[in-house]
Amino acid sequence: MSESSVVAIVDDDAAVRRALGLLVESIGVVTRGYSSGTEFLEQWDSTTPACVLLDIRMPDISGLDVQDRLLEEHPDLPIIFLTSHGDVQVAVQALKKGAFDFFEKPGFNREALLACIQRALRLHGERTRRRAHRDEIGARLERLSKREREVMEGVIAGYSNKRIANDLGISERTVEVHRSHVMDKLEVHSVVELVRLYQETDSGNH
Amino acid sequence: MEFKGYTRTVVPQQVDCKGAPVAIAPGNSDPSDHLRSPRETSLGTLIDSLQELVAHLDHFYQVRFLNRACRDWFGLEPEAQVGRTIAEVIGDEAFAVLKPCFDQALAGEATRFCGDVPYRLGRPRFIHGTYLPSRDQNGEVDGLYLLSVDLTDHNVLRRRLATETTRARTVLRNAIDGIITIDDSGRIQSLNPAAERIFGYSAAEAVGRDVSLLMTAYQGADHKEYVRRYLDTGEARIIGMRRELVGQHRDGSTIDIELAVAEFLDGGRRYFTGFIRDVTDRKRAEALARERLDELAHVARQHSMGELATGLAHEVNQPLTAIHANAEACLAMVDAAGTGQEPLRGALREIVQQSGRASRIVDGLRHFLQVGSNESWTLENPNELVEEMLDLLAHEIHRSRVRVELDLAADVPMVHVDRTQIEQVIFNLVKNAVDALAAMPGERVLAACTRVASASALACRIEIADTGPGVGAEQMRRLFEPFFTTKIDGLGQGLRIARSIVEDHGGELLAENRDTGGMRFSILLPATTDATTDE
Repeated sequence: MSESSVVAIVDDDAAVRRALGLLVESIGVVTRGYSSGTEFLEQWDSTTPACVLLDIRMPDISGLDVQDRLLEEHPDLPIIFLTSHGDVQVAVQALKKGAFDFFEKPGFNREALLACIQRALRLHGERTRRRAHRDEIGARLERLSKREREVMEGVIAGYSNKRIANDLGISERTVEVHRSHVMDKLEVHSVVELVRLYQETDSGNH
Repeated sequence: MEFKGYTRTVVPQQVDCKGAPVAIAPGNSDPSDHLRSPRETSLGTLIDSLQELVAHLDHFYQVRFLNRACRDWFGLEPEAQVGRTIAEVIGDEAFAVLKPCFDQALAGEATRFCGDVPYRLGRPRFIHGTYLPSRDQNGEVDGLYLLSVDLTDHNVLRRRLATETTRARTVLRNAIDGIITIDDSGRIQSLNPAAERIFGYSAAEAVGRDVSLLMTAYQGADHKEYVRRYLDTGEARIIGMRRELVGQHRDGSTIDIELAVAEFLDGGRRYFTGFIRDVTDRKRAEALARERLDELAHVARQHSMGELATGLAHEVNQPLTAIHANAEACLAMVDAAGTGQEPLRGALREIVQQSGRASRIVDGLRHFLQVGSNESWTLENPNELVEEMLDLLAHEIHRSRVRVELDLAADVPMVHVDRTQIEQVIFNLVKNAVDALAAMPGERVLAACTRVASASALACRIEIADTGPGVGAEQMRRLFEPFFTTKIDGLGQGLRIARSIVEDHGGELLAENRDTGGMRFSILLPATTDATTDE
């Protein structure tokens, strides 16, 4: 696992935070402890692969409320809940809202928990990369003028220059100019590359 | 009976009450007596002094004699009487009424008349008259005697008495309470239809029997003792007081009754009248309400224990988690260091296992004490819950003269709840409201309503509001704290438990002062839609 991965441990009990930290660090990742959901939400700023071990039952704001806030502010961050026996019902609710997994305190299985953390970190890394890529493509698409975008959509739909010119009411020659600008701005060299890139964007995914 | 007229001796016929002659007694008088002997004179004086009207007529209805009462009655001078016909004296109308009686007497048959007769000098009078044939020495009828009593005033009394009697009997027959009269020896004299219904005996069966017939053996013995003591000492234990006791129905079942006893004297004997109300239904309702209260109190205790255990489990589980995680971390480090260190590894595994064991013990305790598991939860209509609790407290509500305004939304969503627990919450809120209202002057209103709150996930809203004094800001802040109460006899547990029950159901319990005065509590509960799809 990458040296820079971070696991956030949110629990109101310092002894629990220290012990979990010691355990998680045995697989070579950095941990950061937070004594409440509020503190975590205020201070969390990591950009490296990360996940959060979140206690459900805390006096300040509950784990579920923290989850709601995270869905808005850090939607990619995987959440692993730690629950007491009585809170299974709540854990089910949390899973439905997209929690990564949950473990029961105090007798969780070490290997299972650590494996789960590693999967979560990988997932977060992937999500982060994918999001960065999408953001990058998005930024390139942003550079297109309105007319260039219209031409691009025609190309992706597989229309000939002639038909695109007809549809847009411009000359075939102008279409060719726009088309070469699109290829330059999006840094692609063929229509195949253009289509693949477009499909990786949000607008190409549906 | 012997009786002498002023001119001759007559033997009046004895008649029965229907006016038919029953016997004609042979005269045993001396004929010479008809002369004006001193004795005869005194008899005349006697007749004159009678209050009854006495007259002697001949065959032709001509007056032979009228006594003073009769003359006075018709306003005649003493000398004006003789030679007149009776029709002239009493008037033609009265004569027409009485002529059949006169004729019957003249025909030799004694007769009687009872009824209204027109009165020459005023309103008709109610008279009772006797008409006897008068006979000469040969026994031939030569006229008739006429004896008449004016019973008009008596009759008014009699009618009034009859009306009174009818009225009393009507009251007795239609009274809701059973009314039973016994004599001083405990023998039943009468019982009204309500008493017949209560005890299952007809009056005919019960009258004359000992009143212990209507009591359980145990109370019957007591009753005899009460009556005896009262008669002996005059020390009243029951008279004028209301008592609750147990009666016995004809079919052997017991009846809870409320008894009040009155006493009266008649003919020198003491009688007791018992007014009896069948309170079996009320008693049963009270017992039922008590059972419910016990059940609710039990739930409250269980709930407190469950909360305690859950809190304890959580508190103990935290250090156990730390122990477990530390041991696991050490195991991970030992593993990373390679082989060897078997005793250390074993000790660390033991720590892991034993912390797990401790956790299971705590958890077992929590399971044992917790009632909050929603396996017993059912789908309920909030309106029914509210109505049922108002029914349960109907007696108290009524006693505190509280008016209930019920406003139940027909479209209120069903809720998935532990029925007894939510009922306890409603019960507590209604009880609090009634207690708050009990001290208020003026109108006391308790408003219970249910609402759909579609904007929120907590779609079901149950409100219990009162027009009581409300609470101050400081009280409002501490309302849900344990052991906080404004009631003298309160424990300050009700609202705290109520809130934690509602929160266990994923809901909220809110309190506020109303703008118009008084408090409003709102129970917000999740509607069933997601509660049922969860499973």
